[in-house]
Amino acid sequence: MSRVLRIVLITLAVIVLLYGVYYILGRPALPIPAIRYKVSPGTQLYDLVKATESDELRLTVVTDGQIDVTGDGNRMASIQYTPKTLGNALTLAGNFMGKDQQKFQTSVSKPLQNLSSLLYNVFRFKLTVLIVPA
Amino acid sequence: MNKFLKILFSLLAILMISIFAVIQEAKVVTAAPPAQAGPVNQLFVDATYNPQTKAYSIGGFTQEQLKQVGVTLPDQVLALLGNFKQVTLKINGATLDVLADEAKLATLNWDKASRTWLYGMIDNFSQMAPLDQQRAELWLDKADIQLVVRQSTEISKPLVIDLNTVVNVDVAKTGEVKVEGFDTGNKLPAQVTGLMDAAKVQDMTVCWSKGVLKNKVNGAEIPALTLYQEGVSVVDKAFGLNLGDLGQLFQSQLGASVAYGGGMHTDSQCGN
Repeated sequence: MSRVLRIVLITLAVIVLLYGVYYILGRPALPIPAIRYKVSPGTQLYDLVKATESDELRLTVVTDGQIDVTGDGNRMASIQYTPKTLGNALTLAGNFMGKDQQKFQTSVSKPLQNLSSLLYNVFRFKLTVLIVPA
Repeated sequence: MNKFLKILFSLLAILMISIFAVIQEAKVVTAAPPAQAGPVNQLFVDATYNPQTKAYSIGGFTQEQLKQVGVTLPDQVLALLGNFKQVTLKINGATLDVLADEAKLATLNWDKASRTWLYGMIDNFSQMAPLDQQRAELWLDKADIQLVVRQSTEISKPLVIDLNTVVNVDVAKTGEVKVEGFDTGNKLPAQVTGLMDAAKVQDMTVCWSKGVLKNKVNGAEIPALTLYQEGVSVVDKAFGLNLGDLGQLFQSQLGASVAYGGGMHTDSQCGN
């Protein structure tokens, strides 16, 4: 066996091993550094943020199918989705596009469905967006 | 290196077996939950009436709040209520009990044969369109309904609505709304029907179950939305909606199957 082939096989084996451990652990969502998003006064989102005691809303997207909105440590709302239900929602949204429906389907809907399916089934990430007043 | 490769492949073998075990465990079939034996449609309505002031309250709502949504009790009914301290109507399983001042006044059979007789009477003597007996059975076959009307100065207890059977709503292309076949006399605005046309909606099922909103459009399920009471309070405060106490809303379960422009109703239940 040539040296290069051996290195490739070992690398692949290590990747499979690492992913296997990740799979057995239940594919936990890997956290991504939080993003701070500032909202300017005069918007409804600003009013919503200011209505909380902490002046902060937290939007958490976990690619295993859960989107949460929390404020003052309390859950305010959450959305539960699967790649299928997300696809259905995108199809419904596409219906509103009229003549641009096909373009929406190919440029937005399909890629988003594929990405969400990959992140739902293979690698899961947790993204947090902190919404604060400007 | 050979030793390293041996260890690596051993680990891979262990991993493959572990993954196989995890997958097999996930595939274990669990016994289906037993079919629901108890009532599937629960409705509790408490109404209070003050004979001195003639003020009344139904389901936790005051007379003024009820007037805003067009609910008023005729004077004849109020006069009748003044004769009793408490009247209770209970439907549970196969019996219908009527109690006056906590003493049993009558117990009627509420089995299928009795109900069929009642539907026939309604069809013969009322001026309404013939009853859809199949729909009526879906509502009443497994129902736990309690209506309590009592003399009291306090506000009535909150309404409890826990309905598994979805309400059939038919919306014409022109906006006319029928509920369970009965014309409501209401019409949806053109913007709403326009949206439904744009979205190519033929049928839609909406289910609100204690804070969880599930929807299906044209048979396709879309992501579920869960609202939390604390969160709705924040929204209420932010936008000055004055929604009041929403506790009973978050205890309720209610669904609707909307057929638009001649679409078909789906055979679904709320809460499943």
